[in-house]
Amino acid sequence: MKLSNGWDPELLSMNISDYKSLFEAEAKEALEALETGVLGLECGDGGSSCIDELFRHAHNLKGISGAMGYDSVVEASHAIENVLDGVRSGRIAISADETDVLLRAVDLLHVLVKQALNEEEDESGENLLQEVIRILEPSVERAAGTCREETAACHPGVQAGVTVPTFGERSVSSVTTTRVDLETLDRLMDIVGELIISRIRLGGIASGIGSKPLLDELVSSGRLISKIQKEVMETRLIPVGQVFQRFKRLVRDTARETGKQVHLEIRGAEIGLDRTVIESIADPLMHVIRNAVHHGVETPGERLAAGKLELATIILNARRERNFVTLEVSDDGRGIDMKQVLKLGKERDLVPPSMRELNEEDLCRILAAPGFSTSEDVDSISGRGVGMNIVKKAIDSLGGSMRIRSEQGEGTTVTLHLPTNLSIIKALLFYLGREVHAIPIEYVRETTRVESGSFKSVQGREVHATKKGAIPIIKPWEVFGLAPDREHTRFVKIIIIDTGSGEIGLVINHIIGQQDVVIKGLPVLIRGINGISGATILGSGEIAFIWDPTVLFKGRLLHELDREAIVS
Amino acid sequence: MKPRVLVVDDAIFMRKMISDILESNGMEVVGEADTGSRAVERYKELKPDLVTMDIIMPEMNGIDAVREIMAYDSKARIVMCSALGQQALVQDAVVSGAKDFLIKPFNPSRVIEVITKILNQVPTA
Repeated sequence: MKLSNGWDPELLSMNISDYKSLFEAEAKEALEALETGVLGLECGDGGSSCIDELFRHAHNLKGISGAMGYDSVVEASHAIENVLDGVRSGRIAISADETDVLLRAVDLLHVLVKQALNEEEDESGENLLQEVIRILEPSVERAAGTCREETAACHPGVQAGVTVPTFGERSVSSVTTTRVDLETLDRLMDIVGELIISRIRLGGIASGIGSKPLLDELVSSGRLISKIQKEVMETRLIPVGQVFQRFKRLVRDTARETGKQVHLEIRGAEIGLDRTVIESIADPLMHVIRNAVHHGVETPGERLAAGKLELATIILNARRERNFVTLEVSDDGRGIDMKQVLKLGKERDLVPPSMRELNEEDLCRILAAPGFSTSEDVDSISGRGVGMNIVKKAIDSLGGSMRIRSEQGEGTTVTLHLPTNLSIIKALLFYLGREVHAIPIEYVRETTRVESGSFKSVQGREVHATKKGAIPIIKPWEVFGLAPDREHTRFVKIIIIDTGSGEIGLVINHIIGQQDVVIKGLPVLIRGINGISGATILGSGEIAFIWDPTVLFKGRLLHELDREAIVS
Repeated sequence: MKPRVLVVDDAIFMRKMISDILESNGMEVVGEADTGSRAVERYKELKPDLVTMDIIMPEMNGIDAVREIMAYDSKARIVMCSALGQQALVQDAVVSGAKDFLIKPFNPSRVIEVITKILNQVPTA
């Protein structure tokens, strides 16, 4: 195999895939640094995002893509480099328009790099490259000095005089770190999971034997295993700043679209979250932030009239508390109109008609109720609501929680409380027939004991009547097509599950209790079974399936009217 | 004895590529550095036979690093490695004491040719 620039790496005992993954990693870094840096230029940020740094990243990208023979990436990064050179020498003043152009060029460069890596450099690649060159052309001309006399004249809308930091204040990188493949970290985490399981099983055997020295030794090995578990989990943490950075762009673009002036302040960017959590949190956070700009923040005119600064501030803050991370998005906008939300809540029967004032919990519940999200009314009155349902669901599925606080005229704060990792969770274990099953604890509302025969029927379906309404009863053996659990006792136990879109009651006769479990992915053959999110190995060596109630009991909820029909 | 080389570049990719080219041609890469100032430190510590030096790097650029190394050891043999577009800087480097320059992307045989030539030169200073 040859590199596309024609020379044969085999002659030089090189491994081309090594180069490709190195290229991928460094190109990604360079592209991210370019985007952050360009945004920094516009705000006149100093520090590591100074122009020399930016130039260096474009230059590096050009260098390494040249070595790989990715010509269109070379040309595109060269064009960007030229513009940056113009900025550095003061021939180009950075304005919002100039930033738009540079950001767009960086976006296109992203695509070019991706295409090059997938070896799909074709016509569309050529078109992309032409697009980069076309959009940068006016800037390049200015950089070359063809329009030197009067920068503002050849570029209306330029706000001159943003000082661009040059040489000097730069973060000093250190070589005490090393790159580790993310897959290696995943494997390490798997092994730690196995270790924990093996330790639990050893414990079972040891108590069977009843040997005290053995049990003592197991206690200390258990301590070591927890330590290594903690270390591995720490290694997997990625600074939330990596996700936060992209929101600068989001806020900037959304604000420009809506004619608002918003500054995004980031705090706690160094706080670490497991990469699986980070991946799942990006979209929900984006919703919350976009909402804040769209609906929370007022127009500059409205702000002035309210005696506020024209420039609104959104603060994105991360804090760590033991095994949880709190992410907070607060704006200094108009706040939520509680009266309207209360009114709508009553109309939709989400709160009792007698309620006078909304507490925090009800506010969150109403805003996150399905259907509330798309309503235009909510947008105009509360300034929030779009996608809150989606946000709540995502946070729940991560085992986290959400709070919304708002002060009318002062602003709104959305707080997301998340576990730092997802591999080890608390679950409720129970027997179904002879097998053990598990449900993540955050779905479990309560467990209760009811008289058998107390179930009522709605449209032919068994329900359990509570003060709040009827809860459909599900006999899990019917769901899985197993032999019925014949227990003719006076009472049956039910686990009440909150599926996110309604409650259901599961008839379970043997509840084992709560336990920490290590989640294992399912093997390929049985992956994708609806409603089973994974499995865990118990101390006894048995395998327990972990249920995903949001999926498993879909379509088994009661319709609104049916639910109201029976209230105990 | 194998010629001992110090490879300086801020991109890991480039350091690997240069090291691979050198090592598969019987040279020994004794050290790497990712900034100009670290290059100077490593030079003093390792006393290599030759240095390949990138130009655009954080902290201290390659030109300043050449100046510092030459001030420390006037017999130092440094080859500049630079992507296109930095010709003016390459000239600065040569004036400051660099012996030759290589333009990225590298042609391995050209790299070896230039480096062998320099290693065979009798130190003049």
